[in-house]
Amino acid sequence: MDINKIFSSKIFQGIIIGIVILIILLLVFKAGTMVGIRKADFSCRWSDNYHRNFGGPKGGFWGGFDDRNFMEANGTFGQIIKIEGNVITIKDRQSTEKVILLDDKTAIRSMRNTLKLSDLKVDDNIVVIGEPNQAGQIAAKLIRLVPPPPAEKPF
Amino acid sequence: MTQNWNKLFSYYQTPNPPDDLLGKIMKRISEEKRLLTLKRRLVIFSAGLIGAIVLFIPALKGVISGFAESGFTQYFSLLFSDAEIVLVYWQNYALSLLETLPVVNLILLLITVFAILELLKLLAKDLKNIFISKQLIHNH
Repeated sequence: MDINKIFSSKIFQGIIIGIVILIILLLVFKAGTMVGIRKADFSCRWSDNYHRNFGGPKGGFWGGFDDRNFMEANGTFGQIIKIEGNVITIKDRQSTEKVILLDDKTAIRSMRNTLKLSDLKVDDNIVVIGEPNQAGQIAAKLIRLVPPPPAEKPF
Repeated sequence: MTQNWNKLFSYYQTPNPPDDLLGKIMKRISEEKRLLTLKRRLVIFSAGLIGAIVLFIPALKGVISGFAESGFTQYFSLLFSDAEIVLVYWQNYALSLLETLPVVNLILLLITVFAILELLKLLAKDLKNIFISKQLIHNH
Protein backbone atom coordinates (compact mmCIF):
# COMPACT_ATOMS: atom_id res chain seq x y z
CA MET A 1 0.00 0.00 0.00
CA ASP A 2 1.38 3.38 -1.00
CA ILE A 3 1.56 5.60 2.08
CA ASN A 4 1.51 8.68 -0.16
CA LYS A 5 -2.06 7.81 -1.12
CA ILE A 6 -3.07 8.22 2.52
CA PHE A 7 -1.40 11.63 2.73
CA SER A 8 -2.95 12.83 -0.50
CA SER A 9 -6.42 11.52 0.40
CA LYS A 10 -9.31 13.89 0.99
CA ILE A 11 -9.72 12.65 4.57
CA PHE A 12 -6.14 13.58 5.43
CA GLN A 13 -6.51 16.98 3.75
CA GLY A 14 -9.75 17.48 5.70
CA ILE A 15 -8.00 16.66 8.99
CA ILE A 16 -5.21 19.14 8.22
CA ILE A 17 -7.70 21.88 7.26
CA GLY A 18 -9.73 21.11 10.40
CA ILE A 19 -6.66 21.43 12.62
CA VAL A 20 -5.68 24.73 10.98
CA ILE A 21 -9.22 26.12 11.40
CA LEU A 22 -9.27 25.00 15.04
CA ILE A 23 -5.90 26.65 15.71
CA ILE A 24 -7.14 29.89 14.11
CA LEU A 25 -10.40 29.78 16.12
CA LEU A 26 -8.54 29.18 19.37
CA LEU A 27 -6.07 31.97 18.60
CA VAL A 28 -8.93 34.37 17.87
CA PHE A 29 -10.70 33.26 21.05
CA LYS A 30 -7.51 33.71 23.07
CA ALA A 31 -6.97 37.15 21.55
CA GLY A 32 -10.55 38.08 22.45
CA THR A 33 -10.18 36.94 26.05
CA MET A 34 -6.86 38.77 26.32
CA VAL A 35 -8.47 42.01 25.18
CA GLY A 36 -11.34 41.41 27.62
CA ILE A 37 -8.94 40.68 30.46
CA ARG A 38 -6.94 43.81 29.68
CA LYS A 39 -10.09 45.89 29.81
CA ALA A 40 -11.35 44.24 32.98
CA ASP A 41 -7.93 44.46 34.62
CA PHE A 42 -7.63 48.12 33.72
CA SER A 43 -11.14 48.89 34.95
CA CYS A 44 -10.54 47.13 38.26
CA ARG A 45 -7.21 48.87 38.86
CA TRP A 46 -8.55 52.22 37.72
CA SER A 47 -11.45 51.91 40.14
CA ASP A 48 -9.27 50.64 43.00
CA ASN A 49 -6.66 53.39 42.59
CA TYR A 50 -8.94 56.23 41.59
CA HIS A 51 -8.07 58.39 44.61
CA ARG A 52 -4.36 57.74 44.38
CA ASN A 53 -3.58 58.05 40.70
CA PHE A 54 -4.92 57.55 37.23
CA GLY A 55 -2.17 55.20 36.01
CA GLY A 56 -2.94 52.17 33.91
CA PRO A 57 -1.96 48.58 34.54
CA LYS A 58 1.70 47.74 34.90
CA GLY A 59 3.50 44.98 33.09
CA GLY A 60 2.87 45.97 29.47
CA PHE A 61 0.57 44.36 26.92
CA TRP A 62 1.96 40.82 27.25
CA GLY A 63 1.66 41.02 31.02
CA GLY A 64 -1.98 40.09 30.58
CA PHE A 65 -1.30 36.84 28.71
CA ASP A 66 -1.69 34.76 31.84
CA ASP A 67 -5.39 34.81 32.73
CA ARG A 68 -5.24 32.44 35.67
CA ASN A 69 -5.79 35.29 38.14
CA PHE A 70 -9.26 35.85 36.70
CA MET A 71 -12.05 33.73 38.05
CA GLU A 72 -14.73 31.99 36.05
CA ALA A 73 -17.93 33.98 36.29
CA ASN A 74 -20.57 31.59 34.95
CA GLY A 75 -19.76 28.57 37.03
CA THR A 76 -17.50 27.14 39.63
CA PHE A 77 -16.69 23.91 41.39
CA GLY A 78 -15.22 23.23 44.77
CA GLN A 79 -15.90 22.33 48.39
CA ILE A 80 -18.64 23.88 50.50
CA ILE A 81 -17.11 25.68 53.48
CA LYS A 82 -20.17 27.55 54.75
CA ILE A 83 -23.97 27.42 54.39
CA GLU A 84 -25.97 30.42 55.61
CA GLY A 85 -29.61 30.55 54.63
CA ASN A 86 -29.72 30.45 50.84
CA VAL A 87 -26.10 31.50 50.50
CA ILE A 88 -23.33 28.96 50.11
CA THR A 89 -19.64 29.74 50.25
CA ILE A 90 -17.32 27.36 48.47
CA LYS A 91 -13.56 27.04 48.15
CA ASP A 92 -12.36 26.19 44.65
CA ARG A 93 -9.16 24.46 43.55
CA GLN A 94 -7.21 27.72 43.68
CA SER A 95 -8.48 28.12 47.30
CA THR A 96 -10.56 31.09 46.21
CA GLU A 97 -13.78 31.55 48.11
CA LYS A 98 -16.88 32.14 46.03
CA VAL A 99 -20.37 33.07 47.15
CA ILE A 100 -23.25 31.14 45.58
CA LEU A 101 -26.82 32.41 45.82
CA LEU A 102 -29.67 29.94 45.65
CA ASP A 103 -33.34 30.57 44.92
CA ASP A 104 -36.43 28.48 44.35
CA LYS A 105 -35.47 27.80 40.75
CA THR A 106 -32.04 26.43 41.58
CA ALA A 107 -31.87 22.74 40.77
CA ILE A 108 -29.78 20.70 43.19
CA ARG A 109 -28.89 17.24 41.97
CA SER A 110 -27.02 14.24 43.24
CA MET A 111 -26.80 11.18 41.05
CA ARG A 112 -30.39 10.89 39.71
CA ASN A 113 -31.97 12.50 42.76
CA THR A 114 -33.17 16.04 43.23
CA LEU A 115 -32.10 17.49 46.57
CA LYS A 116 -33.08 20.44 48.74
CA LEU A 117 -30.77 23.10 50.11
CA SER A 118 -31.02 21.47 53.53
CA ASP A 119 -29.48 18.30 52.08
CA LEU A 120 -26.24 20.10 51.33
CA LYS A 121 -23.52 19.86 53.95
CA VAL A 122 -20.20 21.53 54.62
CA ASP A 123 -17.33 19.63 52.89
CA ASP A 124 -19.60 18.49 50.04
CA ASN A 125 -18.06 18.97 46.60
CA ILE A 126 -20.28 20.71 44.09
CA VAL A 127 -20.30 21.95 40.51
CA VAL A 128 -22.28 25.14 39.95
CA ILE A 129 -23.64 26.69 36.77
CA GLY A 130 -25.10 30.15 37.19
CA GLU A 131 -25.26 33.81 36.38
CA PRO A 132 -22.76 36.30 37.82
CA ASN A 133 -24.28 39.35 39.52
CA GLN A 134 -23.00 42.86 40.20
CA ALA A 135 -21.87 41.90 43.72
CA GLY A 136 -19.40 39.30 42.44
CA GLN A 137 -21.62 36.40 43.44
CA ILE A 138 -23.01 33.59 41.33
CA ALA A 139 -26.77 33.12 41.18
CA ALA A 140 -26.91 29.35 40.86
CA LYS A 141 -29.11 27.69 38.26
CA LEU A 142 -27.77 24.19 38.72
CA ILE A 143 -25.83 22.62 41.57
CA ARG A 144 -24.59 19.06 41.26
CA LEU A 145 -22.97 17.11 44.01
CA VAL A 146 -19.84 15.37 42.76
CA PRO A 147 -17.30 13.05 44.35
CA PRO A 148 -14.19 14.80 45.69
CA PRO A 149 -11.58 15.33 42.96
CA PRO A 150 -8.68 12.88 43.00
CA ALA A 151 -5.36 14.08 44.36
CA GLU A 152 -3.17 15.42 41.57
CA LYS A 153 -0.71 12.86 40.32
CA PRO A 154 2.59 13.99 38.86
CA PHE A 155 3.20 12.83 35.29
CA MET B 1 60.42 8.43 -33.85
CA THR B 2 57.82 11.20 -33.60
CA GLN B 3 57.17 10.90 -37.29
CA ASN B 4 56.52 7.18 -36.83
CA TRP B 5 53.94 7.87 -34.20
CA ASN B 6 52.23 10.46 -36.35
CA LYS B 7 52.22 8.00 -39.21
CA LEU B 8 50.82 5.24 -37.04
CA PHE B 9 47.92 7.37 -35.72
CA SER B 10 47.13 8.72 -39.13
CA TYR B 11 45.82 5.27 -40.05
CA TYR B 12 43.23 5.28 -37.26
CA GLN B 13 40.00 7.19 -37.30
CA THR B 14 39.42 9.45 -34.28
CA PRO B 15 36.70 7.81 -32.12
CA ASN B 16 33.56 9.95 -32.10
CA PRO B 17 31.48 10.14 -28.88
CA PRO B 18 27.83 9.25 -29.23
CA ASP B 19 25.58 12.18 -30.06
CA ASP B 20 23.57 12.00 -26.83
CA LEU B 21 26.61 11.72 -24.50
CA LEU B 22 26.51 15.35 -23.37
CA GLY B 23 22.79 15.12 -22.77
CA LYS B 24 23.21 11.93 -20.73
CA ILE B 25 25.99 13.43 -18.62
CA MET B 26 24.00 16.59 -17.95
CA LYS B 27 20.92 14.54 -17.09
CA ARG B 28 22.92 12.35 -14.70
CA ILE B 29 24.44 15.42 -13.03
CA SER B 30 20.98 16.91 -12.65
CA GLU B 31 19.62 13.63 -11.19
CA GLU B 32 22.51 13.48 -8.72
CA LYS B 33 21.92 17.11 -7.72
CA ARG B 34 18.23 16.40 -7.24
CA LEU B 35 19.02 13.31 -5.16
CA LEU B 36 21.40 15.33 -2.97
CA THR B 37 18.74 18.01 -2.43
CA LEU B 38 16.15 15.35 -1.56
CA LYS B 39 18.54 13.73 0.93
CA ARG B 40 19.19 17.10 2.57
CA ARG B 41 15.46 17.76 2.80
CA LEU B 42 14.98 14.29 4.25
CA VAL B 43 17.49 15.03 7.03
CA ILE B 44 15.82 18.39 7.79
CA PHE B 45 12.31 16.88 7.83
CA SER B 46 13.45 13.95 9.98
CA ALA B 47 14.99 16.32 12.52
CA GLY B 48 11.82 18.43 12.44
CA LEU B 49 9.65 15.35 12.93
CA ILE B 50 11.71 14.18 15.91
CA GLY B 51 11.49 17.68 17.39
CA ALA B 52 7.72 17.80 16.87
CA ILE B 53 7.25 14.37 18.47
CA VAL B 54 9.41 15.42 21.43
CA LEU B 55 7.30 18.60 21.83
CA PHE B 56 4.05 16.65 21.41
CA ILE B 57 4.53 14.80 24.71
CA PRO B 58 4.74 17.87 27.01
CA ALA B 59 2.00 19.55 24.96
CA LEU B 60 -0.31 16.56 25.53
CA LYS B 61 0.55 16.51 29.24
CA GLY B 62 -0.19 20.23 29.38
CA VAL B 63 -3.63 19.73 27.81
CA ILE B 64 -4.51 16.84 30.14
CA SER B 65 -3.43 18.75 33.26
CA GLY B 66 -5.09 21.91 31.88
CA PHE B 67 -8.44 20.13 31.54
CA ALA B 68 -8.06 18.57 35.00
CA GLU B 69 -7.02 21.78 36.77
CA SER B 70 -9.51 24.10 35.12
CA GLY B 71 -12.51 21.89 35.93
CA PHE B 72 -13.54 21.60 32.29
CA THR B 73 -14.25 17.88 32.70
CA GLN B 74 -16.53 18.58 35.69
CA TYR B 75 -18.58 21.05 33.66
CA PHE B 76 -18.55 18.86 30.57
CA SER B 77 -19.93 15.88 32.50
CA LEU B 78 -23.03 17.98 33.32
CA LEU B 79 -24.01 17.68 29.67
CA PHE B 80 -24.69 13.98 30.23
CA SER B 81 -26.01 14.07 33.79
CA ASP B 82 -28.20 17.21 33.59
CA ALA B 83 -28.83 17.71 29.90
CA GLU B 84 -32.30 19.27 30.30
CA ILE B 85 -31.10 21.99 32.72
CA VAL B 86 -27.95 22.57 30.69
CA LEU B 87 -30.09 23.16 27.60
CA VAL B 88 -32.23 25.71 29.44
CA TYR B 89 -29.19 27.63 30.71
CA TRP B 90 -27.03 26.83 27.68
CA GLN B 91 -25.50 30.31 27.53
CA ASN B 92 -24.13 30.15 31.09
CA TYR B 93 -23.07 26.58 30.47
CA ALA B 94 -21.29 27.40 27.21
CA LEU B 95 -19.51 30.33 28.86
CA SER B 96 -18.43 28.08 31.75
CA LEU B 97 -16.92 25.64 29.27
CA LEU B 98 -15.17 28.41 27.34
CA GLU B 99 -13.85 30.01 30.54
CA THR B 100 -12.25 26.74 31.62
CA LEU B 101 -10.93 25.70 28.22
CA PRO B 102 -7.10 25.44 28.39
CA VAL B 103 -6.74 27.45 25.18
CA VAL B 104 -2.98 27.99 25.13
CA ASN B 105 -2.27 24.32 25.84
CA LEU B 106 -4.70 23.28 23.11
CA ILE B 107 -3.11 25.63 20.58
CA LEU B 108 0.35 24.21 21.37
CA LEU B 109 -0.92 20.63 21.05
CA LEU B 110 -2.68 21.30 17.74
CA ILE B 111 0.40 23.02 16.33
CA THR B 112 2.55 19.98 17.20
CA VAL B 113 -0.05 17.59 15.70
CA PHE B 114 -0.19 19.73 12.56
CA ALA B 115 3.62 19.75 12.32
CA ILE B 116 3.85 15.97 12.79
CA LEU B 117 1.23 15.24 10.11
CA GLU B 118 2.69 17.71 7.61
CA LEU B 119 6.26 16.50 8.18
CA LEU B 120 5.14 12.87 7.80
CA LYS B 121 3.51 13.79 4.51
CA LEU B 122 6.64 15.56 3.25
CA LEU B 123 8.87 12.71 4.43
CA ALA B 124 6.77 10.11 2.63
CA LYS B 125 6.82 12.22 -0.53
CA ASP B 126 10.61 12.70 -0.33
CA LEU B 127 11.27 9.02 0.32
CA LYS B 128 9.24 8.12 -2.76
CA ASN B 129 11.12 10.71 -4.86
CA ILE B 130 14.49 9.42 -3.62
CA PHE B 131 13.50 5.88 -4.52
CA ILE B 132 12.44 6.98 -8.00
CA SER B 133 15.60 9.07 -8.49
CA LYS B 134 17.84 6.15 -7.48
CA GLN B 135 16.03 3.85 -9.89
CA LEU B 136 16.46 6.37 -12.71
CA ILE B 137 20.18 6.73 -12.00
CA HIS B 138 20.71 2.95 -11.94
CA ASN B 139 18.77 2.46 -15.17
CA HIS B 140 20.96 4.92 -17.06
